[in-house]
Amino acid sequence: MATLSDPLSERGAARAEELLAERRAALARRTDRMFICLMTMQWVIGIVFAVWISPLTWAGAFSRTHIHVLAAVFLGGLITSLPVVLAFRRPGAALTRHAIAAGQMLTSALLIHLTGGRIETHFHVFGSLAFLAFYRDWRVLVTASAIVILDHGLRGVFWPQSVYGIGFIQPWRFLEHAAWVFFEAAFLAYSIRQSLGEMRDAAARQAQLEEVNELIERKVTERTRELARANEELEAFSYSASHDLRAPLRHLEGFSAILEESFGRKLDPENRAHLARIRTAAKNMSRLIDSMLELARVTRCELRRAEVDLTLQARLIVDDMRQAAPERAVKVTIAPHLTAQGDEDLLRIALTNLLSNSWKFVSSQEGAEIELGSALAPEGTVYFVRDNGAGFNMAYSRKLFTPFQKLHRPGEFAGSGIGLATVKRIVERHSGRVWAEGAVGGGATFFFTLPAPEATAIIGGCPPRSEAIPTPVRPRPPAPA
Amino acid sequence: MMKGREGLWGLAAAAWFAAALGGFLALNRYQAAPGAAGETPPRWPAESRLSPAADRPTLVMLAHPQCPCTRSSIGELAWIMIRAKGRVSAFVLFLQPDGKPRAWVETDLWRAAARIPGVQALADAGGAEARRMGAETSGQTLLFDAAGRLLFSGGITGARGHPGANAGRDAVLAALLDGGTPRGTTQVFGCALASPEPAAQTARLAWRL
Repeated sequence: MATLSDPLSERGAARAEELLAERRAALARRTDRMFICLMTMQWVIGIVFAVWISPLTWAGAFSRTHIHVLAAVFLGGLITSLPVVLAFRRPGAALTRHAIAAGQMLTSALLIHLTGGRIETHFHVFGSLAFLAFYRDWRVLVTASAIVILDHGLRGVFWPQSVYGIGFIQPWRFLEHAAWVFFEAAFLAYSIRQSLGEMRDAAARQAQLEEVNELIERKVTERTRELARANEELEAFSYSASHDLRAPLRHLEGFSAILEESFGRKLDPENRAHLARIRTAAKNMSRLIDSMLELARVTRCELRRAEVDLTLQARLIVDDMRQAAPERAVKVTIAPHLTAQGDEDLLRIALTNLLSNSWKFVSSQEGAEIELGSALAPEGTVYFVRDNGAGFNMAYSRKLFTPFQKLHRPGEFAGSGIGLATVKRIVERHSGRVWAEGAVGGGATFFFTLPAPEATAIIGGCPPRSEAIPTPVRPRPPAPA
Repeated sequence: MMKGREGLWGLAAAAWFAAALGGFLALNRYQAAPGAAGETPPRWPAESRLSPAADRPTLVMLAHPQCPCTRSSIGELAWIMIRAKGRVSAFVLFLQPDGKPRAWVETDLWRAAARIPGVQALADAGGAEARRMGAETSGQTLLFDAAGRLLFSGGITGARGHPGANAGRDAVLAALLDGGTPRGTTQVFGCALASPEPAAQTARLAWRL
């Protein structure tokens, strides 16, 4: 597997170049935007200064607008116009940044001129070169330097006063100004080179990271697919195994019943007890298989979302339980108007498991009570089923939702050990959470959440809950030997 | 298509650069264009109301109180006065056209001139002294020796509103410090002292409207 220390592949190198180009283009666009502001601001400031310092020129008692104001407005505007238009129309283009470099240096020339060649105004040249270095393109510095040198050279020959502030200069003065510009430009170019190197390294690192991530992603997808396939096979195997086990079990139970019916009276008490144990074991195993099938079903089926009246469902379930055990005196409190979004069949199964779980564990309790309710919490509505039954040890609370895990001694409470695991699967399929709190002898509370509908991707519907398993027909008694 | 558009932008950039160069050319030509040179008298004009110093040279500068370019001339005068160290007496005569109040004359230029040691700032009512001295452009400077002979006449800046070393300033300093002979006249850069002819005023007013 590739690691971050491996050299870049050919594709990775191409991607690194692409990333570098993208970053440089973004940098150029960003710097263009900066210069739109800077150049517009310089233009306005130039006008303000011109109006402030030399608004009018005079002839005796008469005045007119000073040429400096006109130059600041029109020549300054002309100098600013093309770079700004290019920055808007063609951001990031090479022509734009060279036009900006030229415009910036022409602005320096204008400001130097308007201030009568003040040496302090020359700082605008150096500041501008530093700003232009933001492009990280040494060619821009060449353009800018060339304009400065051209301006100083030409004006030095024809109008030295306007650039150097003195009317007569030695030829080396031009070279001195050029040398200072070269001095700064050279250092900036070196810094640009360093910076580009760092950008290139960063791009290479990102390309490498992308490559590794892509590889990991591919592996994860592959593994996930394999796992899903294995899981599907396992579920299918478990479903068909459970399904196929039911038929021989029915036969076992059916034929045991026939045996008891036909020969029950002829058997001695001990053998009759053996036959009864066979039938009880067959029934238990049948229940266990039913539970396993249900667990498989809630995992495999697709959900069909609708608004579910949990209060109504709970009442129906409790009615069933009361009818099945009319001798039990259990006080059941169900909060009114409990609704949730989800698959009605599955939520009914979950509620059945939770309520029958409580029903079972309050069986030995005087004044048994079960309550279904809800509460508001930061994560949304939390539903709960609370009882004052046998409870459990919190140290083992995690095991509660594991298939075939029971926290009580065998024979103490009947059950397959799959009910709560089924609840967990159903709630998790609705992107919810389930947990329990309790104490030994202090009752138990089971909480679950059912998040907002958009959190769950629900389509389709569950297959029929039970499938037709042929009931064994009463076979003819075996022929006497 | 893109190439064509790129080419158009390139042409636009070239035209833009040429236009900017043209603008600079026009600006420089204006800056380097001197004002009108008047005919200065060879000796101190007898009709002048000013009293020249009898024991040292006298310098007279004619200035327009509102002219931005004259700030450089005042700056150069300060340079000369500091280096001359009391060897010259100086007047700066600020034009006060007819009908303009005193406040119009006593600008920050006036105050800057008055602060220079050895310089007297005065108002030149109606520009009478300027006419006597033959000055037509603000910044015109005349240097007379103690005997009233004209030693130098011209400007003491190298261009409009541009301070710094220049021939006029050097000539005045040379005459004062070395007693050298003046090198003739220099060009004067500044606003006109005389109001334009009525016809020109009308034309400008019409253009403005």
